[in-house]
Amino acid sequence: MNRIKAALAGAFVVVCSGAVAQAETAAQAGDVDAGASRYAMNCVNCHGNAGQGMASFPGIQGRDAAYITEKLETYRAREMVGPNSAIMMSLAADLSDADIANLAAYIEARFN
Amino acid sequence: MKTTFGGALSRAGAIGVAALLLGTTASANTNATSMRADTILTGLQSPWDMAIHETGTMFFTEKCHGLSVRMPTGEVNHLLGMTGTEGYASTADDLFCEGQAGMQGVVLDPNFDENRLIYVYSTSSMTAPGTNRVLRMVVNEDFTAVSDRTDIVTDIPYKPEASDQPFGGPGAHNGGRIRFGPEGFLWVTTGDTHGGTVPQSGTALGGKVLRIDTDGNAHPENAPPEGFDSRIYTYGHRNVQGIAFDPDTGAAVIAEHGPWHSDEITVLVNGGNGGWDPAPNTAGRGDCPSNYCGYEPLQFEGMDRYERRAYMPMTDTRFEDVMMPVWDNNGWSQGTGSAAFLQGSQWGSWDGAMVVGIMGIGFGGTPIGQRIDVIEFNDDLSAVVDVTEMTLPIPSGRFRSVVTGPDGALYVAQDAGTIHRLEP
Repeated sequence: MNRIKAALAGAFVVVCSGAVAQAETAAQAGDVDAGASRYAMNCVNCHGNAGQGMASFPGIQGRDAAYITEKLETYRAREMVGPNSAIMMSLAADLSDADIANLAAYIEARFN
Repeated sequence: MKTTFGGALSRAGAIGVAALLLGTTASANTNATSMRADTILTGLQSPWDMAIHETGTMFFTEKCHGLSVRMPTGEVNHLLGMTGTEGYASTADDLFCEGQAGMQGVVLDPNFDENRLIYVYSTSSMTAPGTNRVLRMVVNEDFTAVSDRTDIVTDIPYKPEASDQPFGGPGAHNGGRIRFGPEGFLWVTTGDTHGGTVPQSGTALGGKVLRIDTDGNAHPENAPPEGFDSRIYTYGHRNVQGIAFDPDTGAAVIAEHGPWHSDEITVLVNGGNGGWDPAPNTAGRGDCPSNYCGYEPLQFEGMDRYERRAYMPMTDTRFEDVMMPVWDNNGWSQGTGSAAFLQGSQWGSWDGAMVVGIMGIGFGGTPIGQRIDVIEFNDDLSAVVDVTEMTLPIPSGRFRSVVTGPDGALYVAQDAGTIHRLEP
């Protein structure tokens, strides 16, 4: 139970249908290899090389591209999601639409 | 990589011991190459701490799973599970994890071979709304079970509710490292739990370093201010996750995780004040979100670390009994998670130096900085004279725990789930 709670901590906001539709479009255009490179720059430090999460940072295994895209766009817009939002808002600030699409494609392809 | 550091500042007031101000640059160390690494364990769930017996038997904690032991054969016995876990010899349903909280420090009794005692720091629901506790247990002869649990400290605060801060979820800032000092007493580090008045409180045990005996009683020579809990050795801390003892002098040295600035290493003085005071409406600050000023100003925005430090210092010199740090990580906060002293001629010029595991943050333009630094002090520990980043034969990561083993090797746990053994 606690493992589940830790994994989910800070990971949820309401997903609107419009955002999902946009995310799916972006994900289809994502470049998995480019996403791998971008993931290795920052994301791996807290989410791990298999997306397993660690410490108080949630796992992202099993997340589809729409979910990842929506979350990163939310952080980039400086909207709070959960307790680790300060870090995520800082790291997402410089992500382009293409970066987000690439990351979403990589995470969906490799961590599912 | 060379690392610069801010140098030590002078001690003040009642502490009174002068230190040196050294703004210098670390030089290359002859031991910075040719390290060897053996992988001890992989696939762990956020390993937090290790305690290593002279036989090579290694106890370790996983933050949300519990206490286990790796035998010299490589076999792992799962001893004490937390609530919701399976496969442990026994399970304590009151032990839980949430956010940064969970099962953390572990240490063996100095007389373990005779009394088989082990100590663990963990979050517990036994007392509402949850507290951090120090558990004392007995390990059986074949290292397959623990028994006779006695909670020798039951009242270290836990943060039960979310607040309006970065990392503001429940369970923030627990400290959690436990170590025996050279005189045979147990030292316990705690965190401020995002409580504005907790670190300077004389009764709340958060934001403190405790010195107690193996029954949880205060060391008779602890000298905190009048009216304070007698278990307190030092107070005014933010979130102390590293403590180690200088092999020559026996002095206790802590590594403390800064807010958005200033990780610190501090040589403790009995009764001293670490100078952390995130209370609202004090020291020129006004109201703060959720009555905690620790990340102010602009707690969700990146800004110049020195401006931030001037507003909300990690070590506030307005306190007469303040202990000034001997190292401040160049004003960065990158997450100092643990500390240990290297010992043995195999370490060359690093024999007697302290190592600090740094987890990496990366907020607001701060370099992530995941690494192990070797910190060399002068003879009386009043100043840092050299800092060298250890060149590692393993990938960088969140270095949560560094422990020197009886074999002289350095054991390193990363949050990602690995424990390595390093030697030159």
